[in-house]
Amino acid sequence: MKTPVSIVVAVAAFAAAAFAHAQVPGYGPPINLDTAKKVAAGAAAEARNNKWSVVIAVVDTHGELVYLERLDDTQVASVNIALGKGRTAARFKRPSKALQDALAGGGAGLRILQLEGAVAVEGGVPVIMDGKIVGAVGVSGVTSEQDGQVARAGAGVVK
Amino acid sequence: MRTRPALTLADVKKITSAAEAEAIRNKWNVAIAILDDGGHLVGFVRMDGATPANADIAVQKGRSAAMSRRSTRNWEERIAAGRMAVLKMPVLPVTGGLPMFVEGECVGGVGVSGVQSHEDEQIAQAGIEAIGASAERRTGA
Repeated sequence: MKTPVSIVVAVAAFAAAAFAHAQVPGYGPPINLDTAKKVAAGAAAEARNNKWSVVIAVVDTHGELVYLERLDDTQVASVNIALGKGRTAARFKRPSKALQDALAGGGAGLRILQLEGAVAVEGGVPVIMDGKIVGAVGVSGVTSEQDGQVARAGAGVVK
Repeated sequence: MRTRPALTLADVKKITSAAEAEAIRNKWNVAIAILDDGGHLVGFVRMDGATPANADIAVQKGRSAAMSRRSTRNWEERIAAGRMAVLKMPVLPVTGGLPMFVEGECVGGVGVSGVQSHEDEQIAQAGIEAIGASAERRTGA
């Protein structure tokens, strides 16, 4: 007997959703200063290699500041934006790009604008150690995609 | 057109290193914030053991000092002397924030929070000295 396509699709979608949910890491202990500095150094190296001026903010699991540096000549607005992106990634346990994508989808995606304090712009990425979220890094100063690239370079320094 | 000095990231790192070293020397855990002369954050370090509240307070002290070109001790003392109106000003009147003057120009401020206020200020002072800055505008020589 052939399985109806609709049932296959429904099962696959359910499995994918369940699997995706199982992927969200739990919170670990908040990032310490030494680790935060390493993350920022990784991000700064990526920015410098590309000659980008950015603000790099590292926050703990609560979204509170642990470390920040502003590379020379970065636009002033980027201080608060980088902080906002980092907070978003920590407090929503996902890259801020996920919120950007949901918003860009339009329709019901517009509800993202109602989430107080959420910065739905790419550039904030959770920092994960031993499978747990210990904080996040937020970057602002160039295009969102470039900010995201710098942030991922920073977060990628720790495992 | 006149020229004036401005903080670079290299300066910021000298300040945070010196301030952190002073804190470590005394076994203090603090948050240290460096602001430019417009009150915008250019550097920040929160040592392990400093609280999230310290993070917020250090930034506020540093911003108050940078933007008012006065130590936050100055504002705290004015209130203690009876000038209650200062409470309506956009400054945090708690000792621990210092402006930074270089060649007579204010280039920003340093705010520290985590230990007793005068100790916070001690750490901030160590920081600003690392770039040869003074907490007061010097006139003349």
